[in-house]
Amino acid sequence: MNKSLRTGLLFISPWIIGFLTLYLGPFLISFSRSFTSWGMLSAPQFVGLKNYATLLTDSRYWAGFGNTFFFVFFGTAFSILIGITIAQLLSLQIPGVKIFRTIFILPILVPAVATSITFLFLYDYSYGMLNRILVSFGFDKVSWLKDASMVKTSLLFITIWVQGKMILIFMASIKGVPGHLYEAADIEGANPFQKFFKITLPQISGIVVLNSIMAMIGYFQIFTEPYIMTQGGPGNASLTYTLYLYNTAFGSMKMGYASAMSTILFIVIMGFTIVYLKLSKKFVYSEV
Amino acid sequence: MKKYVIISVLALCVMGFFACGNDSATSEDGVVTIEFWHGYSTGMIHEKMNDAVAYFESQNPNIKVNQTLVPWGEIATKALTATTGGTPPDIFRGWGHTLVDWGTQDALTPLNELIESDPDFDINDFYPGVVEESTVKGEILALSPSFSVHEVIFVNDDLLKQAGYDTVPMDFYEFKKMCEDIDSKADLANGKPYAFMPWNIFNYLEGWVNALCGKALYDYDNKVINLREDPEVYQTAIEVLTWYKEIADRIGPDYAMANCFAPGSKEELTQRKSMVNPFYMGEVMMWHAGLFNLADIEEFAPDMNYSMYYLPGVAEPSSSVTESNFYFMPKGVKNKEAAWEFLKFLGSEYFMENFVIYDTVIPARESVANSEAYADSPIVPLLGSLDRCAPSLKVIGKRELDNALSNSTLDVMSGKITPQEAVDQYIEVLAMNGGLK
Repeated sequence: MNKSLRTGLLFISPWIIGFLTLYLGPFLISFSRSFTSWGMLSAPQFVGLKNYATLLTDSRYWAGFGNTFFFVFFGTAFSILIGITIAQLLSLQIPGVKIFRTIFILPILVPAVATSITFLFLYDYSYGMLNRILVSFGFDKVSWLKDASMVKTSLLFITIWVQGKMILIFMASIKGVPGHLYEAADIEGANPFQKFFKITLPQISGIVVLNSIMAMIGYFQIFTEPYIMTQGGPGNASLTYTLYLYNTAFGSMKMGYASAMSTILFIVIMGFTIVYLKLSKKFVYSEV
Repeated sequence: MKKYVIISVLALCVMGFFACGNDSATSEDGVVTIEFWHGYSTGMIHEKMNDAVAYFESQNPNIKVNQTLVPWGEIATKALTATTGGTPPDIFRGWGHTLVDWGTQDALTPLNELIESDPDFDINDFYPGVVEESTVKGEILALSPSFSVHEVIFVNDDLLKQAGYDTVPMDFYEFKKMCEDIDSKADLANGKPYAFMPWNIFNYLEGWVNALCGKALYDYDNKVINLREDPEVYQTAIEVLTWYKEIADRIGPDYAMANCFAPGSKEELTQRKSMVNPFYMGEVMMWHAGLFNLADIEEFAPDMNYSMYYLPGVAEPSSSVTESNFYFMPKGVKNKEAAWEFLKFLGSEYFMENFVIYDTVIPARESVANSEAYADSPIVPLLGSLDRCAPSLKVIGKRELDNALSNSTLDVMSGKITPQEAVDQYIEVLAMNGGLK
C-alpha cells in the first residue's frame, strides 16, 4: 500500500468506520435476521423464506407499498418541479430576493416532528387555520387527515413544503451556469423561457438527476409525517412502507419479518436508482 | 510510533460508538446505583416522583436511583433496544402491551419468588385484577402501584340537565335512545351540544363488548379469537361499530372522526389534551374517555360540573376495562436485589399515598384506595363497583392492534367500509400479529 493511499484512507477513516458500524454491519445483520423469527429479546429461530412468503399475502404490506409509490411518484415529481421553479425565481436579481430566499429555506431548519405537530393544528377539522380560511370564503370544511381520499395529499404537501435543501442545491447549480451562454442567448434574441429550457435546464440536468434520486429515496422512506399525524389511517390510507415496517418491528415485535421488509425495500430502492441512472444518461447534458 | 498513535485514535473512535450504555454499578463506598426509566418529566407529577425517589434513597442509603426521563411514546422502544444491547434499565415504567411482548419472550424477571420470600410485601392487599393483569403463564412479571379505568363516560352535568336529563341511564339501549333524542335537538350554533362523543383508542371495543355481553374479544392464554369463534361476541362488535356509524351520521362524519381521537398517537394528544377538545368546549355533553383524563379536565375545564360513569351495559349493569401502570425489571439487570428493593417501594403504601394519588389513577392496594388519603378523591364513585371491570386483555403487539382497529373504525365512520368488514379486518390482524390462531 503506497503512502498516498494510506494517507487517503486515514482521512476518510471516520466515514469508513461509521459506514461499517452504522450502515453495512446493521444491514448484513438485518439481512441475516430476515430468515428468522425474532422478537429481539429472545434467540432468533431460522424460518428460511417464510417471512418473504408471508409478505406476498399480507394485505397491509401491499397497502403500504401502494401508498409509498404514491409519495415516491408525486412527491419526487412535484418536489423537482417546484424546487427548480422556486430556485430559478430566487436566482433573479430583484429587490427583496434575500427575504424570499430566507422564507423558502427556513422550513429545513425546523425539525420534522415540530413541522408535523404544527400542521396537525393547521389541518385540525374544527379549529384549524386552513378550514377557517375555507369557511370564511364560503366553502365547506375539509377533513384533511381523516378523509381517505385526502390524507395522502395533505401529507404530501408537508413533505414538499420542507424541500428547502433541494432549492438550495438548485440555486447553487443555476449560479454555476456560465454567464456567457446567457449573453450569447441575449444577442440571439432568446426570451426568458427559451433561456431556461435551452440553457439553464440542460446545464443543471445532472443536478436534477441527483436531486430526483435523493428525493425518490427520501420518499421511499417517508415516515415521520404519517407516524406523528395519522399512524397510517384512516384505514390503511396513509400507511407507508417504513411506517408498517416500524410498527411490525417495534409494535408487533416481529423483527425478523420487519428485516425481510427492509431487505425488499433496499432492493427496490437500489433497482429504481440503477434504472433511473441508466435512463438519465439519455437526457443529462454533458460537454464531454 | 506514529502508527500506534493512529491506531489508538481509531480504536478510541470505535470504542466511542459503543460506549453509550447505562451505568448501573456499585461504587467503592458500597452504594449501588440503579437505573430507573420513566416519563414523568414535567409539572407537579415530576416533582412528586423526585420526592418519592428522594424518600426511598433516604430510607435506603446504600441505593442511589438514577432517573432517566424518556418520553412516554418512546419508553418501550428505548428499553427494548437497551435491553437487546445488553444494558437494560434496572426498572422501567410501561404498560400492558410491554408485559406481553416482553413476557412471552422470557425477557422480564419473574417476581413470584422475590414476593414470596419477602415478609414485608403483601401481594394479597392488591386488587386481584391488577395481579391477574401482571401475570403471564403463572408468573408475576411486573409490579403495578396503580391502574386506570380506560372506559369511562365523563358527563357535563349542567349540560345534561339543560337537555332535560338528570342522570345517565346504565342500560345501553336507553342510553342510545337518550343520545338520539339529544342529538335530534342539537344545534351547536345556538349552544345546544351533541350528546356523546365516542372514543376510538386503546381498548374501546374491549370495553363495549365486555359491557354488552360480558365476554372478551380474545383469550390469549388459550390462543382463541372469541371475536371470530363466538357469534355473540362477533355480533356485539358489529353492533358497537354500527352505533358508532349512526353517531357519525347524526353529528357529521368529519366532525365525529376529527374528535373521537383516533388513532391513538400524538394526534389525539394534541387535540384531546388541549382546549379544542369538544367536551371542554361544551360541544358535547358526554365523552367516552379514560380515567387518566381527570387531570386534563381540571386543567382545561376547571369550572365544569361533571360526573363519571362506567359504560352502560346489557349483560352487566355497567362495566369497564382496567389497565395497570406497570413497573418492570428486565432480565439480566446488574443489581437485582437493589432493583427489587426499589420495585417493592413502588408498590408500597407510601408510594401510593404520596405519588399515585397525584396521578389521577386508582391505587393498586385496596387498603390504600379505601383509606382516608383517598376520601376526597374524584375516583371514589368508581371504587365501589370495580369488581365489574375486566382487566385489559393480553396479546402480543397490542399497541399495533389498537391502531389497526382505530383506523378501521374511522373507515366505518366515513362509510368507506361496513362495520362487519371492519370486524373482519380486525380479526385478520389479530390472527396475523397477535400470536392468536
